[in-house]
Amino acid sequence: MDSMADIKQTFFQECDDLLGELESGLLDMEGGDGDSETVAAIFRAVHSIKGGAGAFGLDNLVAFAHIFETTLDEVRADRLEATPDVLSVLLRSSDVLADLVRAAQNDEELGEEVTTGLVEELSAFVGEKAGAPDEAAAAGGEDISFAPLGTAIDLDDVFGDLDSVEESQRFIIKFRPMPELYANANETVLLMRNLAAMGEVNVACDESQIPTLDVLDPEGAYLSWTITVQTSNSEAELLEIFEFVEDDCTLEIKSEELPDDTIEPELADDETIPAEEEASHTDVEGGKDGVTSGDNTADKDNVVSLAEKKEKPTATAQASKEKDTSDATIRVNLGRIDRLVNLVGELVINQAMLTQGVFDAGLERGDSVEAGLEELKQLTREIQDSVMAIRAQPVKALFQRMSRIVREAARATEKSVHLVMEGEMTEVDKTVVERLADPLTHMIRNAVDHGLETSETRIANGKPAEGTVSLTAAHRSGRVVIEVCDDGAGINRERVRSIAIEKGLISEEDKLSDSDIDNLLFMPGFSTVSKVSNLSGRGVGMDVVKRAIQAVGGKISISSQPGKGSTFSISLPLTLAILDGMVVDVAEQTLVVPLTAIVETLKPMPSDIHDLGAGAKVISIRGEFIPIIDAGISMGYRTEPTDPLTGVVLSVETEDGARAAVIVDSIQDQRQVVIKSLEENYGHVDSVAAATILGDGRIALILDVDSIIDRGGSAVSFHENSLAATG
Amino acid sequence: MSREDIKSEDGRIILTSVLDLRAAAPLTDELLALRGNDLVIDASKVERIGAPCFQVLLSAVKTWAVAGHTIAIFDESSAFSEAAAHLGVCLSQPETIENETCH
Repeated sequence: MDSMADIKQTFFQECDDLLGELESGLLDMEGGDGDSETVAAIFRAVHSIKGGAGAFGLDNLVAFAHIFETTLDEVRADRLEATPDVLSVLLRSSDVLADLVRAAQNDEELGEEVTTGLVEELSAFVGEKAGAPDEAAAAGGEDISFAPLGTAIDLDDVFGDLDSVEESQRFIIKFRPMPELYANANETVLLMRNLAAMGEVNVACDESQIPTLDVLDPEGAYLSWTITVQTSNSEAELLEIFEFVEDDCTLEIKSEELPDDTIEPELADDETIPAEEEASHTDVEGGKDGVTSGDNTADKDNVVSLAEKKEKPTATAQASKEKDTSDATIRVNLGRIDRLVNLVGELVINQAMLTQGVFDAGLERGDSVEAGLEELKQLTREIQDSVMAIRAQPVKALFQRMSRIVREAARATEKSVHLVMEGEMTEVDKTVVERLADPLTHMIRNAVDHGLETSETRIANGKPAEGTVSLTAAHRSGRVVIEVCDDGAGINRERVRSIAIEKGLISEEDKLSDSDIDNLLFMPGFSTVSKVSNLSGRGVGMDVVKRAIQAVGGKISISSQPGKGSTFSISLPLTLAILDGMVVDVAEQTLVVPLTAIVETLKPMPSDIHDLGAGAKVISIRGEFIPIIDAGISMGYRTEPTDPLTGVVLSVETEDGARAAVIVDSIQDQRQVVIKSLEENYGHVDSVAAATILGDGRIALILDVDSIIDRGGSAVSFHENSLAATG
Repeated sequence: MSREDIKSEDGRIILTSVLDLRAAAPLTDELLALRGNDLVIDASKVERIGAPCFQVLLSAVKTWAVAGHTIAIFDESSAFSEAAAHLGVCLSQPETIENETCH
C-alpha cells in the first residue's frame, strides 16, 4: 500500500496538471477565448487544489485557494466581470498558488508577504464573501470526496482498510445528466471516478437514447447511468460527489443495508464477471431496489464491473486498485531509465561489433547467422524506440512556465505583452526539456526586455501597443525546433557592430554580413545593455544560452528584420543517445553523417561539375546548382581537395533548407550509431556533432552538417583554387 | 488545440489527445465526412476523454452499423480505456458484441 508520502506526491503531481489547466484557462480568458466552460474549469482546478490541500492540512494553501476560488466563483456567476484588471490579478494569483504548492511540496513555508497583497486585491473583488475558508474545507471534510480527483481515490485507498466492514452499504444511483452539466464544464467520467474511489462500483450505462450521427447534438446528453456502489461511505457523502451538478441532472440515490456475507464471492475473482452474468446480477439488484428494468434492458451487454483483483474478499475492495493495474502510468526513478538507455546504447555497439565479427568470418550470404543478426538488429531498434519513448515528454509544462516568465517580465518592464504558444504537445527527451528551462527563460526575458519596444514607441511606429512574443515547437526533419519570436524592433545592427568594435570583438575594417552581425550576440562577453537591468542583464549573456543549447546537442540561430522583430531558433536532437547514420570514408578516416541530413547520394558526371567564380565549384543536380564542399578539407584531414569525380557526393540539407554537396571518398555502410557527446567529455568542436564507437572498436566522429555548410562557403569553396576545371 | 489534431485519411481517424466538450462538434463533423466507408479509429493519443465524445463515438458505431459498414477502434490509450470503464460504455459494433470483451 502507498505510504502517505506517496499519496501526497500524487496530489502534487495532480496539482501540476491542475495548475496547468488553471493557467491555460486564464490565458484563454485573457485572449478572449474564455467561455463559461473555461471559467467553470478553472474554478474546479482551484477548488480541487484547495480540497486536496485541506486533506493534507496545508493551511496556507487552503486559505489562499479559498479566496482565489471565491473570486472565481463570482466570475463564474457573472457577478464579477473578467476585465483585464481582474484577469491580471487572477493570473498573478495562479502564479502565487503555484508557488504555494511548490513550497508545500518542498516542506517550505512562504512568508505572508507573498500572499497578503493579492489577498487584499482578491478581497476587494468579492467584498464580504471573502471570509476564512469554512471549517469543513480546512479540515478537508467538505472537499475530499470531490475535489482532489485522483487523490481522493488514494486517500480512500489508505483509509478504506480502516473502515469496518459492517458499515458497508449498497446504494443504487440513477444518474441522468442534462446538456447543461457538460456545458458547465462538469464531466461524468470524473464523477464516476470519484464514485469508484468510494468503494466497489458496478456501472450500467444506458446507450439506448444515442441517435445516429446525422441527428446527434454533439453537446447534448444522451447517456444515463445506473450505478451500484458498495461502500462504507454515507449517502450524504455520495451526494457530495454530485454537489456541483445536482441542478444539471436527475439524480436518485437509494440505499440498502447489506450484511457482509451477502457480497458475491465472484467479485473476489480475478476475472471480470462475464457480461451476461453481471447484467442479471444488476437486474436482481434493480428488482430489489425498485430500479425499473427498462433502464437496464438496453445495457445488458454493457454492464461493467470495476471490481478488481482482491487479495481477500473484503467488502470495501477499492476500485482504485483496478486503476493500479489498468492505469498505464507508473512512476519510475529516472536513474533506472538512464541506466536502461545506457544499456541500450551498449547493446547497439555490441550488435555492431557482432555484425563486424560475422562479416569478418566471411559467412555466405543468406546464412542463418546473418538472418538471426538481422532480427537482432530489428529487435535492438524496437527496444531503442521504446526506451526513447519512455523518456519523451511534451514541452507543454516547460512552455507553461514561460508564460509566467512573460508576465513577470512584462510587469517589470511595464510593457504590454501577449504570449502565443504553439506545438506544446511536441515531445522531446526529458533531459533536453529540463536543460532547456534556463536558456529559454533567458531568451524569453530578452525578447520582452530587449526585443519589444515600449507601448509608446510601438504606437508611434504604427504597431499595436501590445507586443507579441511567440513560442513554438515543432518536429522538423528528425529534430525538434523551438522558436522564440518577437514582433519588436529587430536587432539594431549598427549598434551591435559599434559595441563589438568597442569591446574589441571585431575591428572596424571587418566586413560583416547582417547574419554575421546578428551572431555577434552569441559572442562571450557581448552585452548591448550598458546598465544592468534587473531582468535580463543578470550577467548571463547569449553566449551562455548558446553553450547550454550546445551542451544538449542543439544549435541556436537568429534571424531579425529591422522594425519587424527577431526570431531565435533552437534546433535539438530528438534523442541524445542513438542516431541513424551513413558511415563514410574521408582521407582514410571514418566519419558518420546523420541520415536525416542526407537527401541523396550520387556519383557525379563530369558535365555536372561547374566552376563558380574564384575557384568555388557547384554541382548541377536536376538543374539546381549546389555548392560543393570537400569533407576532407572541412575536417582538416587534407589540404588538397579531392577530385569530385573520384568520390561520392552526399547531397545534404540543413534544417533551414540550405543545401550542399559534401564530397566523401566512399560509403561504407548505413547503421545505427551510439552518440557519445564531445561536449560532455571534451568540448565543442566545430563541424563535429559528436563521436561514436564503431563495430571494430574504433572511434568515429559524427559530422555536424549544418556547421559544415555554414563554414563551407568561406572555408572550403574558396580554397579549391587548385582544382582544375573538370566539367 | 483539438481541432487541428484530428487527422483523417481514407477512413482513418486519429483521435486527438484532449476530447472534451469542445472537441465533440469537430469530431462529429470529422466522422460525418467519412460516412459510407469502413472506418478505423486510432485512440492511442487520447489523454483525456469525456462523456460527450463517447456519445459521438457511440453514435458513430450505431450509424456505421445501420449503414452496414464496419468501424473499429484500436490501440486504445490507457486514458481512453479507463474512461470507458468508468462510464461503462462499450464501443464494439452490435454484431460483434458477443465476441468482444468490453471493458
